[in-house]
Amino acid sequence: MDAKFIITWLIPLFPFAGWFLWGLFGKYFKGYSGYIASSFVVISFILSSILFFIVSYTHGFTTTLYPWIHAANFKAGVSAVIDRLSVVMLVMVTGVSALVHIYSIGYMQDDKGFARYFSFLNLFVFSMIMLVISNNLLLLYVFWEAVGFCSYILIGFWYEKKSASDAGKKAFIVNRVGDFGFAIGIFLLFITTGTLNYETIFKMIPSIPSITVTIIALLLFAGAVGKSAQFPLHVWLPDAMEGPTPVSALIHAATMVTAGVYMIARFHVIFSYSQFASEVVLTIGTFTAFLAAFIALTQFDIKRIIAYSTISQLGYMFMAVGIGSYTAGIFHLISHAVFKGLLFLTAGSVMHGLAGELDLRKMGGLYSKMRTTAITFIVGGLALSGIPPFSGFFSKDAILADVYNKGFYFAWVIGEITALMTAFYIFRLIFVAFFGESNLDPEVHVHESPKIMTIPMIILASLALIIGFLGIPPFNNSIFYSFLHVDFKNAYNFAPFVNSTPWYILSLISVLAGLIGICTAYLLYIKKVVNPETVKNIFKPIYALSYNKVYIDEIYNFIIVKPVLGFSNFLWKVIDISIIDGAVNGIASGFAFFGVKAKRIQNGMLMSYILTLTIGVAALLFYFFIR
Amino acid sequence: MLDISQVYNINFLEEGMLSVIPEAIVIIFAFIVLFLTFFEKLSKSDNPYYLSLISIGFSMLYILMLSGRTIDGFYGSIVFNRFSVFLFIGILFSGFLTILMSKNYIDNFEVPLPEYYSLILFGVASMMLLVSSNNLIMVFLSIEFMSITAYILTGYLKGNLRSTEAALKYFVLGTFASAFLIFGSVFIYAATGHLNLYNIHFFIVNIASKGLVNFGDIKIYLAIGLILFLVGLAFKMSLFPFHSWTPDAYDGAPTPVTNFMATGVKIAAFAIFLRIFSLIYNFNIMDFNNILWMLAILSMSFGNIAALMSSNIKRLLAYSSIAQAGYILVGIIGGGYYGYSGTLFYLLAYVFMTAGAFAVVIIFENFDLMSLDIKKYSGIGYKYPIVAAAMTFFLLSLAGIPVTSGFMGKFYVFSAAIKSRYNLLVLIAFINSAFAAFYYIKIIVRMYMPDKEELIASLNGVQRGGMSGGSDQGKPSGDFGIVNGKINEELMIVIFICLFFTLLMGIYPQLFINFAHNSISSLWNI
Repeated sequence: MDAKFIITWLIPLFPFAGWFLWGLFGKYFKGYSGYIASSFVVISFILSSILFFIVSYTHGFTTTLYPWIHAANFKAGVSAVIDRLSVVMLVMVTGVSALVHIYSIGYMQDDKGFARYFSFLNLFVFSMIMLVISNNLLLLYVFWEAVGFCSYILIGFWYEKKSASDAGKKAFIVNRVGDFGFAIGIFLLFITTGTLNYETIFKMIPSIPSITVTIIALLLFAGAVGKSAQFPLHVWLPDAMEGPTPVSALIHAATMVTAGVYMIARFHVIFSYSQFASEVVLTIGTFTAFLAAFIALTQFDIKRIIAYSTISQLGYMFMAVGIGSYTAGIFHLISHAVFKGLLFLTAGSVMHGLAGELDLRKMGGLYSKMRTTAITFIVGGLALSGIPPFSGFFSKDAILADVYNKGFYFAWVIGEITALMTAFYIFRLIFVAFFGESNLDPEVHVHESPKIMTIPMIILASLALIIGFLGIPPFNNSIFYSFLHVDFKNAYNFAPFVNSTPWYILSLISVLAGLIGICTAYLLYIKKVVNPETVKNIFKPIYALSYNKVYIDEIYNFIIVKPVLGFSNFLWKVIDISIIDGAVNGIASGFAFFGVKAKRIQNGMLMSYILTLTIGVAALLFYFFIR
Repeated sequence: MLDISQVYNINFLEEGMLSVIPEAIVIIFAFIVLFLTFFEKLSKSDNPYYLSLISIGFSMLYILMLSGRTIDGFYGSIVFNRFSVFLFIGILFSGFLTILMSKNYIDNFEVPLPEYYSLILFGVASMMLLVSSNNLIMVFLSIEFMSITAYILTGYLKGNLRSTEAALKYFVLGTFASAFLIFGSVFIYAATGHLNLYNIHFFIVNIASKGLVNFGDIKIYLAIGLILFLVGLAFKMSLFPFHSWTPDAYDGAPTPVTNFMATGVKIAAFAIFLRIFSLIYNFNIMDFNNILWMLAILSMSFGNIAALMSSNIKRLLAYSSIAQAGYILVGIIGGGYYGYSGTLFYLLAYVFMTAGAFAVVIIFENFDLMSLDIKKYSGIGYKYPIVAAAMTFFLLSLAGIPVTSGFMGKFYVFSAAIKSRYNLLVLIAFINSAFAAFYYIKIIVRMYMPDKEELIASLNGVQRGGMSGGSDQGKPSGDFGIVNGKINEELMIVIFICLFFTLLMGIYPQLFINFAHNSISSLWNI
């Protein structure tokens, strides 16, 4: 019962209490639930910061709330591992959550599900905290599913809207595919090592045959692919934008979707002992980064553009962890959480000002009307494009420099092209929405959002400006690197550095790529040097490919959904109705038959009771003597 | 065997008295409550009720003070050890909850109050004596003591036909079973020459160690004795062919008494069986595990099938208690350290979940409009959300769904049986508990998703059916929709206590299982 124990367990306790309170008594609190829920998360954030300083000045520790199940060699407790990795994540999760909670008070003001919204948001924060600090596989899996559940329920928050509830279901089902692999990976890990505890597992990994490690790592990665929306399971994330925008900011940009990256960083020992699995991670990450950026080029729904950019940025993070640069991956995770949360909140502010309008073609010239929103959005856009001194520059270039210096040139080239496309699509959005001529619906009264929404945006914008300086001096001797890399000292160095190209050359290339993207967008959409329509007609097939999201949804529909539906129909009509229902009804009538017999035994007649009793005695004696 | 030198031991009487202090307190208070009858003023008010609660509190206090000690009293016929402490706590909780539940229920009837509470206290004391007895005569005496209080309490609603009928049936069958019990004891004595359980234990160990496979007549006598003794105990545990009293007695008795029988009698009977089994039966010279194996499977299957067919909630819970007895037996069959401690855990969990369910039943019986028919539970999920939620939790616990104590109990019991390689038994038990979930969840479904017609039927013209007819049968029923049934605080306290422990045992079982481990280790500490 020391201070560390209390602080550690108070952090998840507050959001948990919030979930409980608003869930049960939400209607009594009315509008106050938003303020109290936010203050709960703020307290969690303060406690996390205290924990952060404790850990940075002393050392990590493990603390157990209680031993949950303890049967033979199966030990699972509610216990936490607090090391530098988890405190960094804790501060990020609770900090972004606190800002999003405050923002939500304004955004969800008149919604009839106000208390329900905060209840689930608090449940999500609780689950995410537990996911980050858990120190065994069972707890990890429980909360891995719990955050998925919260995501599902918050995507479908406006469940009267069919598209929203469908999107929730899609997210849930697509995640099922990945989680199936994840669960099998956990089982396999438990069978091979005989324990669920991380530390014990990591100690045993070097002595396990590498083929087993590879299979386990790939199965775990399947879970990450689902949760972090990587190709081929990325299709749920754009649809998830049907949920309230603060939810998109918190769950589908800053925290939950990064759980896959965090998981790989946490299990770095497993992944680093399997070069093949790591290369798969790198390949999937690189491909997804490129694919999502390519799709984002031509979309018109502003939230979907940002969603694709999230998928693309997550691809960068997977590139980093795929080459063993775990600190670079986590650094990008943190800085991405800040600027992507900012972009979503500002997009929400735009929606708020335009009465829910999301279509880029119906915007324009918003800069003069919503100055705060526009400026903070541009800050987010610059950070995303990797323009110094914004945070994206430091974190993304740390990844790309490592990719280059470790000799993965192809991935590096793709990464630079993606950076160029990223700068283009985000500034296309900015130029079309905030500058140029207005295509607004004249009936919409455009207004700036209330203070309670703009203040979190401003805080995030200033963070996006300053957080990158944790990355100086650039790259592998930065403040952040030297803080975090002690946690990854057990990793096997499977990809050593082969080049030592100095950072300024590599960043120059990246910044150039970003500037080219911005300039292209400027020339196309502000200066109108070439009409965008002409460009579109020149590259017609490629444009169609990008605009239709590479037809992935259609392909899945054709290959998977249709056959499954047909098969289900067959199961329903033939197997279920005639065979299973028949069998169930048969069994039920069989039991009814037995039940009637049983009732005959229990007929209320004393004589027959005595008879059954005597028969029982006789049977027992008989059994004994014939044995 | 009487050892004359012990009589002159100075500490003998003190030790003897010390070993029964918890029981003695309860008995003394029972007499005080009984004497209140002579003072009309005192007996009319709530005094008997409060005195009973206080006595249980005192007894608990003494148990806590003495816990950890092992005291042999009265030539070793009473043993107070940690095993007894665990069960004392279970029994006292059962008695405590029963008394709390009785308050408003018994007030509904024109029956003398002090006797009722004193009988409950006598019942509690007899159960405590039973679990700490270590001598065949002591076992028989306390079982009789316990049974007689149970007979009287079952028929306590004078003038109510069902109650009287149930009491008579219970009495006749109980006497019949007691005959087997005493007859079995005689055979055991004839075979071994001992009455003390430890001595019988050593006698059998001796035979087993000498490798005497055919020890002639002794073995036959011993086997007949053990089988008949088992029959007598199986009757109290309501295992399948000896269960026939259970549904009728549970149904006919006043509901708090039903709860007392379902929780107190059951754990006392199982506890003494566990003690005797671990000392005597557990030597495979007789193949008793096979017999128990069959009894367990028959009990579960019969209980579940019959519960499925019953539409009266008290009968349903009675049948489900038969099935639960089957599951508990799995732990005893599984045996060993883990099996026995799992059994103790399950017994304690069973007390709380069953008492909670009965408390909810009483709440609706007290409304005077709700019959015991399950159909009448339609839609109460909306009218009484907290009570219905509690009932849902207790039913889920009985069905063995995770996060509840019922799940952890089943987990420990079944895993112990798996460890002893009773795979088929556990498989059948699994199928049974999957099947049992059906009728538990059926009630939950009724509470939250009523059929329209049923709801209308429950709103209009509800007459109080079931056993508690008696005086108020045919009383015009009010419109259920407007009756604002007040839920008594006592019943809410019961529900919250049960909820608390059911949840705690589900999410933090380690606390209780460690306690059970300690208790079990004292069982072998002869």
